[in-house]
Amino acid sequence: MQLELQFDDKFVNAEFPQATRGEYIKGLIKGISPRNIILSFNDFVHRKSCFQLLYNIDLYDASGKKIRSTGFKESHSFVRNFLKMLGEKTMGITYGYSQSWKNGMYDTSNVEVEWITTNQGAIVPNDTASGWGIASEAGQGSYGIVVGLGTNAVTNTDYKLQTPILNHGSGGTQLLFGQTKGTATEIMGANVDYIIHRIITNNSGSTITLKEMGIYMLCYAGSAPSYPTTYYVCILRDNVDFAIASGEACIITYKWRTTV
Amino acid sequence: MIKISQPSTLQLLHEIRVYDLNHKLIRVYPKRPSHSFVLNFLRMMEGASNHQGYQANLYYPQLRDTSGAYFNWGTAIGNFPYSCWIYSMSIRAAVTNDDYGILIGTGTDAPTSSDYKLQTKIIDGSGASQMLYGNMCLGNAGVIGSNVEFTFLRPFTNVSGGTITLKEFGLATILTGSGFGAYTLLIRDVCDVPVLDDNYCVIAYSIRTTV
Repeated sequence: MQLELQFDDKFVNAEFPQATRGEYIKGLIKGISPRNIILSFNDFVHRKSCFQLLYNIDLYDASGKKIRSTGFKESHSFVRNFLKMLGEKTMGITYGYSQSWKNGMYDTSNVEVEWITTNQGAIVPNDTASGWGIASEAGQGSYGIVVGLGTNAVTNTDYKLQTPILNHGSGGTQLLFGQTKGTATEIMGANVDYIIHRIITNNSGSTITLKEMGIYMLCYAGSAPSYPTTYYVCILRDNVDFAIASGEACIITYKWRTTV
Repeated sequence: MIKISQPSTLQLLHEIRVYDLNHKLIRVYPKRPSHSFVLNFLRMMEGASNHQGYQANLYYPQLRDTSGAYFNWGTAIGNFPYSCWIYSMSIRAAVTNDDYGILIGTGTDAPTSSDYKLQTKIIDGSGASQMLYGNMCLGNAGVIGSNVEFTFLRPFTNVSGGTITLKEFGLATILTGSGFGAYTLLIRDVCDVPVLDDNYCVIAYSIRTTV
């Protein structure tokens, strides 16, 4: 007897419950010799998703020599806030000036963000220019690429890192934060890459092991020039396990990649 | 060992349904992965995020609108050109508007990252090779099972008098600033969907994230 297993898009996507896939396959192949099992994957399996989120961490010693790298790994960590933000920004809201509403997006204090229209036609949170800022400056650990010590598994409803290290400094459990910088989005071979990275240095005197990391956006609400409300909004979170000895620095890179 | 990899953290899916005159569902092209974010998409995300809150962008990525013109995109404070200000990135096009929202066409070229328009867009109307564009309908992003989904859809009606076969479709946004607007293609997909005269189809995209 010969069995041919075909894995299609229904299988690799959420329509087929992931938790039961192993049992499903075991049931299919029970009693069949491995030499009689043919694996065939259709187009959907061979092709990468049209969007990939990847991360890499490189570690450098005090002399600037690279001593370790995770290599690019797939991230599985956009949280609810990401699509809440993208969805709201694409809604084409045309309310009048100073209208406000909420849409279930929560900041890092678990406060539901209030959106508001400005007299210049923009919708916020954010400034009158209405983007979402992640290009944090040096010394600012509160947004951009952020790191932490929490080990809880990532969930869709995470609104912050579990135990973030936000303080810039050289004291206990503090880190030195460089800028969060993007590099120009370009076509790279068969892909389009938007790369965001940040240098983080440990001068605390002892080893700090990163257990989580992610990206916080800086958002402002209200009208220029006062911007009365500031929100930090977590859009992605990853579990990692990466030790940085005192005197070492790491570069965390997130790569947003699309592929046609 | 059989190893099935976990889906990407962000998936783009699409589904097409065709209905007859009596709103009877006559064919479903089931939800399947799309492979078609174009360069503009990540440049739009880059322009929207590459700044320090209310400050000006560190730099302004260049996008290309559906007419082929290039423009820069980002936030600005002070004396920067208004064309750089981000006011909106709306996809919520109104009925008859074939400039943005989900668009359809008859071009058969394979999608490429540098696509900035549909190859041969079908325009709104009831004449030959035209279809009626409905309103864009946007759902609120929310947690659905183990995913977060943001779904938007649009109906297209064929009253042209003959069958029209959709060969391509995609999504365009209007990026606006003060006195500025650019129709900008973000997604392009190919398909093969005949729509008979007096029938209509509904095209739905879902952006799905999974931790």
